[in-house]
Amino acid sequence: MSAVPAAFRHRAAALAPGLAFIASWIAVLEVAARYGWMNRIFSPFPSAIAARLADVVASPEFPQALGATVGMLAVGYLLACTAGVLLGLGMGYHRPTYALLEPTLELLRPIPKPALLPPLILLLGLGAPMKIAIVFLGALFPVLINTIQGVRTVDPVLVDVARTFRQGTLKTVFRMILPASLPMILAGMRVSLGLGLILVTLSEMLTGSQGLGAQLVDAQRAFRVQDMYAWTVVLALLGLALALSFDALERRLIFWSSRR
Amino acid sequence: MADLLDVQGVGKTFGAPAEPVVAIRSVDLRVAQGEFVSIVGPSGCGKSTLLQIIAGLLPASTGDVHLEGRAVVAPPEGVVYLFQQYSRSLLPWLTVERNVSFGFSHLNGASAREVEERCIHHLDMVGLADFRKRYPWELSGGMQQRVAIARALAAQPRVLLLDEPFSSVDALTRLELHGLILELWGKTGLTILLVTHDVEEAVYLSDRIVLLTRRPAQVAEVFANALPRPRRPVESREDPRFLGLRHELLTRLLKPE
Repeated sequence: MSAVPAAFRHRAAALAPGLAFIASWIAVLEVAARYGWMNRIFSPFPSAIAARLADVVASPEFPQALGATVGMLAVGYLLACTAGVLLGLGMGYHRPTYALLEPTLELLRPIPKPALLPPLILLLGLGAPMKIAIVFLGALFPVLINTIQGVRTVDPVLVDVARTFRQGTLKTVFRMILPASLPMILAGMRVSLGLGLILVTLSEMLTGSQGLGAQLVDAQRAFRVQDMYAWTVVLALLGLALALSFDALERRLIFWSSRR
Repeated sequence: MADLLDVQGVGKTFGAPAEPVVAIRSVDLRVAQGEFVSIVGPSGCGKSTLLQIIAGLLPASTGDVHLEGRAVVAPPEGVVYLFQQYSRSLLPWLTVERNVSFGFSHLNGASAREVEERCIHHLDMVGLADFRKRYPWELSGGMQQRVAIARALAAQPRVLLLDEPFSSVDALTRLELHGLILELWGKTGLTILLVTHDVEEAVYLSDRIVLLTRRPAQVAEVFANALPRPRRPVESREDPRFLGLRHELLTRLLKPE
């Protein structure tokens, strides 16, 4: 008997063709680079990138840069999620609050968030406050919009259940409305997480101060091309790790949502 | 005996003032403490709307509802509404036990142990004590409605409002639930008001039957039910008094107006 669980073998079997496709891509790049079919200096050279990646990960800059990026992202993102959910519950459940804030929301929402970076740099400088602010602004709107939408589409029967059991407004909102709209809220948070990573990277690239984005532009400007690719791979892997962690968290939080 | 529930001239109009839709014209109804009363009417006649007004879930356009002499403007203490759609009324993110405690744990300062004991007690009454750690979606429809009944009873209401609670389960389960609700009614001294379109169900369960007209609803007639208790699922349905009242009600319901 194999010690590998059946579910894992199924998953591996499902992933195999896709992984093989990626592997063949890398192989093509490697061959093209070795035989000089591509520019040797500027093009990605998989074996060179892999070697540089090992050096980069072992370098003293790596934990510092990763910590800076993840730290700014985490603070801005968690603030945005908290504010987005609370504001969204208020706007979704309470008509006057919605009427008051909806025009402001519609005014701020369509702004491409990178356009706010220059003013934020002037107002807040090049450091942490500016980066947290841009992540916050980018991540806020998807969470907010989805929370409002989620609250409004809660089954009215559930709201009446809370009322017949005399839950009161606060308990109705936090024991009934919030969990019932959680699937939609989490969908917004997933979008926000991606946006947050984009914005923190961009802010680091523009300012060149700290973080993975700063390392990336530093390498590019110094013509350390394979280093640049290595930092790009680090960012790609960070994005993948964040998305997979989010999936795992979501499955635990709304285990009930596909089962009803 | 004094009336527990007094519905006076209750009417409901929906829609814009320019194009009003009158759902309920005017309904008067009195229910005594401990009574089991059914409201029967053609589908879409406004039965559920009336029950929601009595529950304080919906404001009346005209008239008012008094519970023990106090006007009902919001869901009052001691009244619980049991919804037709058990699958929508149970909270899928909570276990069966937590669904039951949802109805009462916030109301008094009961300790965790007391809350648990009360849940087990009420789940035991509906025969589901062994399923308290399961989730509602792991249970059959009939079992889910039993959980909803346990949740309603655990809130210790004096009045239970039933909105077609047996209409979305299969026929055999429905008979079982009828037996269960009569047993619980006998044990607790509850007052029950049931809305249903099922004439046999109304005759089998209740003391009195209120027949409503087509929309806009008003009371067509109130029937006293002479069918003796205890009711038995097979024998009671063959009793001439059961058949007579059923005949009368069905004839009235099917008659074009």
